[in-house]
Amino acid sequence: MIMAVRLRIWTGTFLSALLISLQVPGAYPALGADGDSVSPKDVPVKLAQAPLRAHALTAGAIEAANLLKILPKVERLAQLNQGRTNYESISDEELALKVDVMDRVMGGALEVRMAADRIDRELAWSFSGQGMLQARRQKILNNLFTANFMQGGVLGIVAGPEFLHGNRRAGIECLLLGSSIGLALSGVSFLYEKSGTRKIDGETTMLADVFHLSYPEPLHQPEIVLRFLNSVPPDAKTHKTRIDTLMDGWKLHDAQEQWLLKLAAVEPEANKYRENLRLIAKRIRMLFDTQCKIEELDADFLDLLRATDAN
Amino acid sequence: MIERSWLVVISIALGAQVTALPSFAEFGSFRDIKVTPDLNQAAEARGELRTDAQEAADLLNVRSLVERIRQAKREKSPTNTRPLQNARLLCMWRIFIASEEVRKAVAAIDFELSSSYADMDSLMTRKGMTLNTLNTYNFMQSGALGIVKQSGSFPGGNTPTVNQTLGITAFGTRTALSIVNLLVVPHLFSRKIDSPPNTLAIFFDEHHRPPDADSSYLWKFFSTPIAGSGNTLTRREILIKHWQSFARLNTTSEITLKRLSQAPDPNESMSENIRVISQRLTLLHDLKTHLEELDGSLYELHKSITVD
Repeated sequence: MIMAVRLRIWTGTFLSALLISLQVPGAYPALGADGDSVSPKDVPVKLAQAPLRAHALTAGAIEAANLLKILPKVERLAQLNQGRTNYESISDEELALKVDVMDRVMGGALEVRMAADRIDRELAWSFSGQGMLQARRQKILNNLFTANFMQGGVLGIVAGPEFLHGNRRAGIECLLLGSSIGLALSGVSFLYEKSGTRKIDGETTMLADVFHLSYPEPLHQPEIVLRFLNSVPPDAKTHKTRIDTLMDGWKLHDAQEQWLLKLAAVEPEANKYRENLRLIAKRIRMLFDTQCKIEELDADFLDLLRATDAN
Repeated sequence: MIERSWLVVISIALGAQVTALPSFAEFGSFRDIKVTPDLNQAAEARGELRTDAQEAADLLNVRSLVERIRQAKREKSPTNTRPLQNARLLCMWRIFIASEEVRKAVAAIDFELSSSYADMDSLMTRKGMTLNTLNTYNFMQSGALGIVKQSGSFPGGNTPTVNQTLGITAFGTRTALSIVNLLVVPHLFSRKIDSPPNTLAIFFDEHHRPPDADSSYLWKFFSTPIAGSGNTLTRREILIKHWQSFARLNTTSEITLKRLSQAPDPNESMSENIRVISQRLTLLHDLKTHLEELDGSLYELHKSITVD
């Protein structure tokens, strides 16, 4: 009996904590149902006064339940929630279902976190590469400009006395040489404006999954996340999967495989190529887009938790 | 003419010698360290728990519960019994606590990263403005003196001596300003360290012990060696060694460590420049990715106790 009570308290507290941890706007409302601000002290009172009622399953909740393969359990849980009048009358079956659903949602939330962490790591590396190339380019350009000023200045200083001593030809040669070197260094500066590459040496990024490229199995396999990315959103007007939508946004449908390999830094194929600032900037944008798309799954989990929570 | 060409060589070499912008550290290979155990596929094939999940189970002190749940799954016995439900809940509870600890640490690092980026941006902007202003002055003085010189070259104008003096002044100023740009400006900008110590301070100070050290799984994770590895160094020590080679961290310089961790002594005034902030950003990004490795182990542990 004591264990059962403890289990119920755990379940309730854990579900609330999980809900807050998902960090989706609205997970922890700042306003009460009537729009008044709610102090933390008020919250339990308001919750206790609310009638027991399960939310309807939203499209997001159904999608999450399908991805987690627990739709029958969720439907049964919603049914049991509706048939109950207070917290005390929770049955063993309902409790078991709650633990199951919570277990799966937690697994899904951890998977989203793990995939987002991986992208964080890939982003950090891409930003480092970008910073390195930009700094190197800026350094070279600054050195070229300074060298240009200095050689012009030094040759000009040398030319002045030559003119004063009547060596007109030597003076003109100095100035001519200074101008020629100046022109050459400016030409080199123009070339450097658009150059700067480095060998692709990062780990295979998650973009390889988005582009459906094959690569050695990663340390952790985000199965649910990949199913989510490869599925059509429930509210979609077209039959395009989330990956199709991403690819449309990036205009990559007709891209050559070599370009995709380089963007995704697929090992070992991409290691023989070099990357430039343009490629890194594109990769950064794509990684951010993918991370954002993956984190949308949190909102589905929130819907699912709300739908199965008797509030 | 040929004798004077060495002047050209020297002036170009001078330009190439000195760093105009402190650059980001040039990194080694990305195949950097991993602070979780290597996988043992043979053991996994025998049905054993993944090594990273195993380590997480030990860390959370739920190994026996995990094995009990896995045994029930293997034997296909009912998993909705009270003891098993209890075991699953306890495991999830602890996984959740550890996951929140990672979130808390990562949130702190995210804040430190954003403030460091803002500080670096302000220094870079000031430096860029100074460089641009000096270059503009350089062009302007050359232009102005050139106009005066050339206008004095018309019949009845200045004497050749005056004209050449003007020319030499312009060229001399040009060279001087370039030298200032090259040697002075890069070292001119710094700011006072006024933020509280960042997360690196915890890792640099081997005697540091946070108030929640006894209950923190994350702290325990970083204070222990990687399970199954022959290395006896703790993860914290491994990270320091990794930073020495990866980000060229000089651990023997106390002042560098203080600057990087924004932890001057009380009443000590300390400043930071672009190079310090750049290195700090590298270390914080790296620390964050290694902290988040625990998420992967927790995910695998959770996967191992999920029942169908």
